[in-house]
Amino acid sequence: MRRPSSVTFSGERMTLVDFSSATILSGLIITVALIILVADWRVALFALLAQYVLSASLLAGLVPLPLAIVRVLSGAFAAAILYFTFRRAADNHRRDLAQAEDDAARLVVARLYRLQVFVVGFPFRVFALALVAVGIVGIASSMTFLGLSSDLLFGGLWLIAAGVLVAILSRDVLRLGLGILLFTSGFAILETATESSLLLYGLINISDLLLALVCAHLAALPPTDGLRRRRGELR
Amino acid sequence: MNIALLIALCLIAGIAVRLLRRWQRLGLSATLIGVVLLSGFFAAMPSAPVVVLGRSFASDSATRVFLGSILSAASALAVFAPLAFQRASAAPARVGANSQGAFFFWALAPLIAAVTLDSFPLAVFAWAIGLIVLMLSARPQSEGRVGGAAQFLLLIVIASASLLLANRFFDLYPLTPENLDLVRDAVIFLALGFGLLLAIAPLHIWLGPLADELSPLGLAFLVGVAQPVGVWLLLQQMGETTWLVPRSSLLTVLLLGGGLTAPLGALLLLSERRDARWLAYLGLIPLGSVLIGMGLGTRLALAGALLALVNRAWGIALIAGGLSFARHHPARRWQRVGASAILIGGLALAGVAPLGFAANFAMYRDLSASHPILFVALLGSNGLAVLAVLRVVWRSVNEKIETEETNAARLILYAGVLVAALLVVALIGAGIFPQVLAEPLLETVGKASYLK
Repeated sequence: MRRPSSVTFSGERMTLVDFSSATILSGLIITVALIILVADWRVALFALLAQYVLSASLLAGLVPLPLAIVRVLSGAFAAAILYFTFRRAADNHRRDLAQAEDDAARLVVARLYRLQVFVVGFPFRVFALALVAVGIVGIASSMTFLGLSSDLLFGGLWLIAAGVLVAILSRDVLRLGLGILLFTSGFAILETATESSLLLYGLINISDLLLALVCAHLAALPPTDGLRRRRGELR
Repeated sequence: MNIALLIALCLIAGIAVRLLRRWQRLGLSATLIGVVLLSGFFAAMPSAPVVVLGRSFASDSATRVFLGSILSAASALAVFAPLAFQRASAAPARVGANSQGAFFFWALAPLIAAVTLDSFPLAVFAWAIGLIVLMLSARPQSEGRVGGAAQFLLLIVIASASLLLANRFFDLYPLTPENLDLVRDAVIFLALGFGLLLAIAPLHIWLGPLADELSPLGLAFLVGVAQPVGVWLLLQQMGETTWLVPRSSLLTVLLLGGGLTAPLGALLLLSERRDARWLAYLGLIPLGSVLIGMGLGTRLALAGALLALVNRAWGIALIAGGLSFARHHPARRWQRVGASAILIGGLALAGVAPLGFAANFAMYRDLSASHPILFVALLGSNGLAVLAVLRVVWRSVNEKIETEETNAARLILYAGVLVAALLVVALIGAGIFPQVLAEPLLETVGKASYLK
């Protein structure tokens, strides 16, 4: 399937003048940076949603626009699933803060919450993001993969690498879920560009919802006793 | 149409078990009805391929025997699930523990599709969906860090992506047969995808953290039911893509993977005391044997590998049932039942005669002649497995009994014993009459052109 220079919508051709590849790729870089650098869940969820819109714009050159919009819809549903879980976790955090008896306790709760999102601090995340960005730019500009154009290759690889980075840096299941969804977005771009199967495209969208659901389920469950590290020890 | 019915029935049985989770007898009844109906539909499955929604579902004799083995192992695990019943409450831990059977049925549905679908990428998708659904039965271990189940989700996605990319190379290579780089890339992605999800050494490191968050039954489903589906997909691909084995080093990769996995599993097993991790590492030993059997590239060794795969599914289900008795029912008689199940299942996995020996013998004959070091490594691994099993059984039998009472309904305990007995009969039967399983299993897979 070759990438046309314009998108089709209900049989009519619509030129993407304002929404060029460079804009889309810049948007992908910004949204991923927000997910990795900002600990606030609302910003991260908004960035994920924006990432889905941008990915769909990139896919619009490969599949008809209505099909590309399906990607936005599945992203919106996945974001909705994660939103309710994030909000519940935030409510729990607020309740813990309210129950804290003095400023010192409140500081401990607030610090614990911040620590739970990422395993490393802001400077290291900036450094890691920069390294990944340079690496992906180098790969996408110097190699070819299954005959993909460089913008598609960069978009796909960038999201895949960012997804793995988010997963590595996350201490929180929901943030790791965002990483997994970034990975599947990147893979969806590569897969749609190399395969013409609409069924696979549909399954990727369904699997996004399933992954969001399982991540939300795992995040909502209270952990087993944290002190009993060796759970299920044989007698 | 029967395959669609099988899948639908799994989903309905899962819903019924989930709805009835508060009442242990009703939950068991729903499970038993589901298992009986599944068996009925499976027995009535036509041998001709079935087309559903434009996709062909194979149901030849090899597929039927393999599907039968994973259906029986999954059904046994679903019947064992009420053994871990906890007094009904709204606590998420209890809801999850009492709904395990439901998760097994739901995860089984896509796995049935994966085994029977004629398309590799769709089968990979179905396999991945089955694994993702199984993660619903996991329980995070500690706050403040991402657990094994969540990390496994990422691995499922990475592995599925690798396998789908490998499939793209399968499609492209016949168009440019002189480009051997495509074959190499296909094997790299194939090895990464299957290596990750089958926990082949050195890609097995996720297995321990995941085992901490799954119950022994959930882990047994992953290792005994879901992983064999991956091996089956690999075998199908090796047979259908005629150029793959002759033009690549896939068999060597399989031999190396198996040669690393079995001894490593045995070493990890020796020092392990957590039940789910112990079961996971025990399962690595027969997995290593299966990979070596496939890597030898002979018909006899492949027959042994397929038999070992079926034995592994039944043996792991039996051990998981035994662990459920041992963990949840402290009365002496149920501890003994549990110890017996662990012993027989463990000996079957280690290939001790007559349990599972036929499978190992078929592989050992070719292996001892061509790769004596691997042969010794496998023998040593199986010896260590026997020692580890005896240690657990000894501890279980000599455990100081504090109470002879149990909260579970007798019906649940007797159903568990009955299913364990059926698994023992199946294991002994497969050990004494291996041809009953091996011949139909080889009918299609054994015709692959690369086999010597």
